[in-house]
Amino acid sequence: MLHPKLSSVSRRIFEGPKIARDTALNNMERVSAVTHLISSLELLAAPELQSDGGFNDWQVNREHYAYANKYLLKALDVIANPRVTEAMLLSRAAAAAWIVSPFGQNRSRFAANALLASSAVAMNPRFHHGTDGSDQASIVCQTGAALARGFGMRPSATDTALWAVGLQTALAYAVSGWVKVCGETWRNAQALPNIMRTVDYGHKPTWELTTKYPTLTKAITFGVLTIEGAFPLVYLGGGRLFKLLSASTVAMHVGIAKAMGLGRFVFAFGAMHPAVAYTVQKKKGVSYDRNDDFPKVVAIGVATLVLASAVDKARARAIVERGHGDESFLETSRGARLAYRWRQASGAPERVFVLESGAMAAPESWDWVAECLSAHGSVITYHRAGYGRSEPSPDRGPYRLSTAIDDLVDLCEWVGAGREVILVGHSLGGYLVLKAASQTNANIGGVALIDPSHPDQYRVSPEQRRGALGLRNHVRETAQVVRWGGGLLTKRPDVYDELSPESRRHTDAYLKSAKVWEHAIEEWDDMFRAFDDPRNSRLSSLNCAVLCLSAETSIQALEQQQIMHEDLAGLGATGKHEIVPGSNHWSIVIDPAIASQVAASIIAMLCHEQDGGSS
Amino acid sequence: MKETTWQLRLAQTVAAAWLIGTATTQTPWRTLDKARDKDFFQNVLPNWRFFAPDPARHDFRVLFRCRLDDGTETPWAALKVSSGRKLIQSIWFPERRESKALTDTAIQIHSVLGSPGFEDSPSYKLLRGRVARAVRESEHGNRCVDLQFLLAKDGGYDFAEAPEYVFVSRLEPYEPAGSAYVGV
Repeated sequence: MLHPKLSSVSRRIFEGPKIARDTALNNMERVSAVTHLISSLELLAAPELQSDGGFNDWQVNREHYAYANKYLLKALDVIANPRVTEAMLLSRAAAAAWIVSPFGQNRSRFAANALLASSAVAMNPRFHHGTDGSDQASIVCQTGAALARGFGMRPSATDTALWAVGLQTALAYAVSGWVKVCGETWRNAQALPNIMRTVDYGHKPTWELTTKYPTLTKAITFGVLTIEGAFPLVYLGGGRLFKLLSASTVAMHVGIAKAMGLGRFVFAFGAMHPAVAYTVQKKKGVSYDRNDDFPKVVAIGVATLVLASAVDKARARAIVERGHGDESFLETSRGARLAYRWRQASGAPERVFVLESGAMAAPESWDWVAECLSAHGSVITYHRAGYGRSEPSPDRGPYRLSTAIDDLVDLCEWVGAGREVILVGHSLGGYLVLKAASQTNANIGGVALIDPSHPDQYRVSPEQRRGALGLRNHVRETAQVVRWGGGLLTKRPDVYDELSPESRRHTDAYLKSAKVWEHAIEEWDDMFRAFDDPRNSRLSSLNCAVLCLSAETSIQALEQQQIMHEDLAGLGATGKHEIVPGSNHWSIVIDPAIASQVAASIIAMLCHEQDGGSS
Repeated sequence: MKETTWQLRLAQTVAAAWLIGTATTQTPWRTLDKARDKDFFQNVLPNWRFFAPDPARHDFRVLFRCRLDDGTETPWAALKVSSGRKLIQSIWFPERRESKALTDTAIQIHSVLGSPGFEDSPSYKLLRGRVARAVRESEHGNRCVDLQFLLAKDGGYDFAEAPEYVFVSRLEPYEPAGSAYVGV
């Protein structure tokens, strides 16, 4: 049984907060205004950051906004005028001081709230570099205050504003805590020493303490993760945990201010706590008339988003399953069912180009290359089994690249009956076409490798291996997100922007399929396994021409890349290696202008062969 | 007055969309930041992922040197953007803006490093401009013909870790007068 005094302290700690509506709003806007005041004065004190030679030189940063419509860009130009910038910062400081002061009625305070929130947003392009989370948190509070005051402090509007800020606060702490949990350095308690050792955000004595007392460091680290991650629990039990978690997080902000020099965060986040305190109270408390519509509106919004995600997922699946409508199918000897598209060229030579994509790449990425090549022969694009409409054998065992190679051999022999076959492979597809070319009985007239993978690449370059492993993790995580209906929220990689609208539609749908991402992981894993096996280093020589085209950035990024690509070109009876200027790993096939150069090089290789050329 | 008007319903809907939009862009995976890409001002949707999932463990450093009018080269000098920590900086820290801006710029440079036309990227130009200003403010301001700079990262107070070079710039012509911005 607790001592009566302890029991009383415990009761006080775990009893919910009591705060009136107007008090919560006034405290929120006042404390938040302190952040705006300090922030504006700091920016006024450092004008060189905005001038010529500063990191916020508008003449340069304007390029980030060049896509904006001309009126918006003109407005940003006006804000960037040094005199206007200074005047706006002075106005912001004055408005913040006004809110902090005990003066002013609702209307003037509304004007100040609105000025602070809107100017902070409007000026962000001007201060493109150097802003931080405290600026964002203080916008949230002033927007909330402007909402309440814009409605004349009507109780229902003030409650809406306080709910909006309160839920943003719970979200902010929860995100900050849980996303940290996803980071390895937070889980192994290295994050704190890592931050503290930096001059920018760290503190030498604190860093020394973190290295001297690892157990204490671990306790602080897990303490931070706990109080941030658990913060939303304040909304349970009428706010019984509010005092404990609020005091803990404020103490954390104060510690961060001292050790990391992030003092504005104390006011920016401290300002949000009154809104939380007000909204966690039981309805039967001081605010018995509190309007709780806002959480219901949020719940409706979340339900709508979930529904929209499900509809989007079903729509994407339908697009993938329907395909372009002109696919043919081939049952391979390994039991796979390959969906392939055949661009038949009228009057073109009896030749067929078979285009093999990189890991996970949509066959539509070949559109521009295929268009250019189609004047010189038929063009085949297809999904490897496991991607898109192509299905692997139902009784297949663990995925192996060798199966994909066997499927490609079958495809070449099927579409190449009576024709010359030209194999073209991008990235991993380059490795696959080299293997297939050495195994097939088809009449292979040439092999073109477009920035291809080399089986030695991960042994030669640990950096490339690290990058590939990082990408694999990203693919694994995205697979989970897409599987749970998050496809609606995923960004299409910019590289596909160059495709036609119809191809973009198919690519979007393709990338929203969890099956694609999951199959990519299998393919990736077997690629690592295959490339780690030194026996795969020995690629067979071919009796045909081999052209290897490197992306300029691939060569720049890795010194040995050129040697590896020259090595691949050397496998041909005649071999040629070229670097495609201005290209990167993706643009080398997807960018229309670069793709036409690539196609021209492939055609030049064939013409050279017909003329009986040598390497 | 009626408590719940259509204007208030609209405000609630907008605020809810703002909250949900914010929530959708807070995963550890930037590929899900679709809504953030549509945030023109870049701060309407707050980013609550502070120092997460893994915080930076390096300081970025910029070094520069000049080729003078007599053909000699000056030794590499460090660009000073932040000073040591003082207690006052817990509440007043204008210098923080520039050190944060350098970090932001360096991260952008990292993302475009090696791309064709890298030297035309805004982040490269900003760093070049900042170095040119440092040269103007140095004793070599009147005699510098070309400048060169390098970006490196190090372990801050942890001297056990060797600095890592990010890139070395090409020789850039030095403009003594800068390129003063004529505002609108």
